[in-house]
Amino acid sequence: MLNPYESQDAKVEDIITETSNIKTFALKLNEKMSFLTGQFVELGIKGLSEAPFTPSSSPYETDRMEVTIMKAGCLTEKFHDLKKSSTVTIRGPYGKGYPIEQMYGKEVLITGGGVGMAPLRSFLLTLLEQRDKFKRIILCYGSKSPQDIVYKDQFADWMKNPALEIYRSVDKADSSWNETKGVVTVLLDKVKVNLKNSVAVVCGPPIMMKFATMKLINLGHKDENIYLSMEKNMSCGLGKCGHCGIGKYYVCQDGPVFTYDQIKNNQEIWD
Amino acid sequence: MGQLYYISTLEWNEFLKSSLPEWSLYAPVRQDKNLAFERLSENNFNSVELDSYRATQPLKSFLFFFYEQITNIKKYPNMRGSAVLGLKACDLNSLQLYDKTFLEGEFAEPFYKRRRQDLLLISSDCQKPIESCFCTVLGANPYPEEYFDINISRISAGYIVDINSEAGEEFIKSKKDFFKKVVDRSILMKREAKRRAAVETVEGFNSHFDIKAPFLNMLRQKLMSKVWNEQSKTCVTCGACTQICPTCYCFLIEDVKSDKFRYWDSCQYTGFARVAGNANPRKKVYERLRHRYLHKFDYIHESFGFDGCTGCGRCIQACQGKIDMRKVLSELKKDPVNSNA
Repeated sequence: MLNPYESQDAKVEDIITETSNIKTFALKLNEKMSFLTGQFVELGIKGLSEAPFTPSSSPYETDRMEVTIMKAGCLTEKFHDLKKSSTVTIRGPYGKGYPIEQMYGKEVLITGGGVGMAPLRSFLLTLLEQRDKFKRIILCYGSKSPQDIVYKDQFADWMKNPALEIYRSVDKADSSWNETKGVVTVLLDKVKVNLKNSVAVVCGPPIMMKFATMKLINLGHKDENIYLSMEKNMSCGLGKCGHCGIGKYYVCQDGPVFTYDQIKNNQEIWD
Repeated sequence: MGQLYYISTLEWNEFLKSSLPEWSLYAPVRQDKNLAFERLSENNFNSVELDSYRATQPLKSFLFFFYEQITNIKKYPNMRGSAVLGLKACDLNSLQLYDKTFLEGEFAEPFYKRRRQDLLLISSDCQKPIESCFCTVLGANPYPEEYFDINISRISAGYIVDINSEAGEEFIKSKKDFFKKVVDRSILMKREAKRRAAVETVEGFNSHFDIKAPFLNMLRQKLMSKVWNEQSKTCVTCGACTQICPTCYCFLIEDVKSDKFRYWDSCQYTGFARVAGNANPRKKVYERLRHRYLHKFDYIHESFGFDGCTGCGRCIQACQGKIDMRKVLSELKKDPVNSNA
């Protein structure tokens, strides 16, 4: 009988320090795991625990998987202490991911905050694989300070890429910063999209998701065209353990990507 | 309804005793004020109470263990040769939700699946409901209607035995001549009268609450009611209501060295929904109490069309803070607030 609780081992091939509290781990899995962008995995350290993370690498890259992790608790701190060649555990993928095909022919407005850029990078790389299928790709990214920006090198490439429109803001600028200052919602005012033919994709800390969603609605985006990556305590990943409930949904099986329309009546989504 | 038989109490007891060497039988045994499931033996045989009311332990404790290892499993558990007796309708009805959650969907829960296939379910009519019983409020009856292999209904000096599955038929095979096919329909009338009496008893216990399922529309209007806060004031967040609940299935996975273990969790604990960085959508006790009610009567009802509560009343008996689900629902119903979000 298949035991869905069993993980496989993965080797940490590389560790990239993104910011003072965010690292990206490149993993080599014993058995390849194909996933859809936006789906998540349960990543763990044997003897400690496991937790849900969405890969930040492209699903088209099948040799290794990257996961970007911010130090936020016991397990993530242990992850930050890992050295190259360490072994971690992984099972999945779980959930539904982004409905890419429903976005074909549309303007895609991506709004990210802080480490919320992790699933969005995977999403963005997926869009770039089939760039001609989308009318526009716009990325608005906000972080606390210029030092807190993740994927700094990749951003430099993306900003040169004519296929992408990229706007960035930081809450606290320094003298080196010549882009926008302020919270990420400020960027949304600058972007004009065709509301009749666009989708918005948002991922970031809960408070940022809340204000970005409200802003998008004020700007005329429809509830059903706003895609949110929900962070809940997905513990089993199998739609059983009950931890990640949002109303009638389990984030692990019905999400983690939801339209705002699906979950707007629940009081707990931004907490 | 399957094949109906009649058996005298004497022969039933003899039949059970003759099954003891081959079968592991579990039955409700009188322990002071409560009935507790015990492995049946010659020693406790006379303290068994099959016909009164539900035992303290919920059925889930046989199918979904409180704590067990879930990885590096060499041999899956099997419960072949095990049977639980004296289950009541409020036990069996919990299987509707358990089967939906643990057997359906992309992944089946392998341990539950195995035990569910193996375990023989022998239920009986509830003939002495207690004050905390409220199955009728949920639209259910105090006698089993589905999910059993065998159901027995006490009628004066014997039982009407309802065989509902091949496994049930197999179980009685060795003493088949004890079981007489029911030809005289008048004893079915007697069963009906007893069942009616039990329904009326439960209805009587609950008449003053003035509540009737479904509750989802009512609850959706009371999300902001002050009743949640008032009724949760005596809650000590011990989690007894969820542990004892036949339908609560939430669990946590824990790593111990290189193995994983699964144990029952409770949405009433502070950290249940907490995520990295300590964000927690249900910090307050009343928010967690409300979540439990919404899950049972709104979310589950909307997803599956039935309630996540069988009206067994265990949570009422187990609550240290004397929180009574019926009182909570009735106070909510009375509250004029309409806070439909």
